[in-house]
Amino acid sequence: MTRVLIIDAAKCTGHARCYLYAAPDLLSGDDEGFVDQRGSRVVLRQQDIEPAELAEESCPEQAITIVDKD
Amino acid sequence: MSPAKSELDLGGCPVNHTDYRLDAAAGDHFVLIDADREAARVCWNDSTEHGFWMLNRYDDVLEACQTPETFSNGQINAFDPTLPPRAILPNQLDQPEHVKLRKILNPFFSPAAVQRILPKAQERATALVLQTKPAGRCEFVTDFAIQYPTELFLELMGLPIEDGADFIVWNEAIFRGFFDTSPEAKRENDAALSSILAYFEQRVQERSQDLRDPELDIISRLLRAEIDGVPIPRAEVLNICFTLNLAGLDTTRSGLGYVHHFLATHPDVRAQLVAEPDRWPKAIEEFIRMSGLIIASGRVVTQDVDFHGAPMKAGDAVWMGFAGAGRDPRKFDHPTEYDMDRPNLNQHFGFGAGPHRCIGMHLARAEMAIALRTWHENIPDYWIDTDDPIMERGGQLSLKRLPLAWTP
Repeated sequence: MTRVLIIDAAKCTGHARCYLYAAPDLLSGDDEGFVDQRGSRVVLRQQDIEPAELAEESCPEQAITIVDKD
Repeated sequence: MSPAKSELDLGGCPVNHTDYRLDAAAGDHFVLIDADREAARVCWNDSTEHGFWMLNRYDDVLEACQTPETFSNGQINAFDPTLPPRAILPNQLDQPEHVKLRKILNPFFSPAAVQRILPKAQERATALVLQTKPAGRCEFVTDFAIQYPTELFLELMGLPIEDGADFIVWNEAIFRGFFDTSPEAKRENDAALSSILAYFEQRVQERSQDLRDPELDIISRLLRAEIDGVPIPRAEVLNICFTLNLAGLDTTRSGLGYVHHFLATHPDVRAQLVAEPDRWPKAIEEFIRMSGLIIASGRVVTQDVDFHGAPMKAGDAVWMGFAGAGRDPRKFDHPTEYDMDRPNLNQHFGFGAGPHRCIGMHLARAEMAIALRTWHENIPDYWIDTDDPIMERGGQLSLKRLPLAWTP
């Protein structure tokens, strides 16, 4: 089973917690502060799961969700 | 005192009488908050005219911050939930309006934008420290802690640094008015508010005649921005400028005050940071957790709701206990102790939580790191230079005075 991280582009306002603190190796930000991966699906490797879950938990807008993809 | 809620109205929640607006010895508000958090999950505080529900536990504060449809930002001061709408922006907006304005403002506070202002922050910090050092003593709050963020705010806004002296006086009166309901404090608050809005009106008008790059200049961007195809009304542009000032100056001043107070009385921690300056960011995070200056933000309940046994009614004010939540033993081990190596270091509520999380958090962290590092490179040893107790302002905490001395 593969897990995928999804960032809702409409909800992201650029708090920058996900790529700065939670998952800096997985996510990145643009000049305006928004996460680059918004609106796309990020397939998670085993080592990404923990930081991805922290990103999901720490997003102030609750814009990040992790879903299972068979 | 608030109109009595009967025991029935409170659903068995206890009544708390602590008036958090009063001045106290430094740190005493945290002692009170820790006790209140452990005494009850939710209580009703009747120390103010309207009264308010108090949430102080980590999970509850987080849940309420993440449930904005029930806990509205229409009112943000639990002590006095009578603000006119849209006076403090974007703070008083709910979704979807809030997110639209945040998307306009956030780029000026992004990590990349903060990087752009760092050289200026370093320049101001160095100048202030070198100016302060030769005397061998200072009243830290007035001589350093408020000067630095005021100058940086003006820099950020593209306004003349010489205007800082007026800001310091206005903000003092405005904060007093938030928590002191005496007629005199209200009068001073009103006068300061008029002055500061008149100031921004003039400066914004000037800028509108001389627009700058909206990617780099906040005021120009606000003047040109549209929300749903409509320009932001000029009065709201002024309110946004006013709010940015309100949010950035007092808090940074207070944060620096608490850090210096702690380090003046904990020479072992200070020596460690002087020896390992790369650890400042972690230390700052821990200071923010331990000493939450914005002890609470306010919300107003939009609909009758049972919140973990508390029968909240539409219109009730709610205290979102950020400081108490950051010191909750259910979330943080040994929460009253300084420990910059704790695993969940940055999960405090020093910058709030949810959609209204502090827009200036990256800037605040960077500003503080530069000021603290620069100070300690130049003045590594210092002590408290008074026998009088160090006092803190209630409401939104800030040390009133912090006399320090060192060998110049």
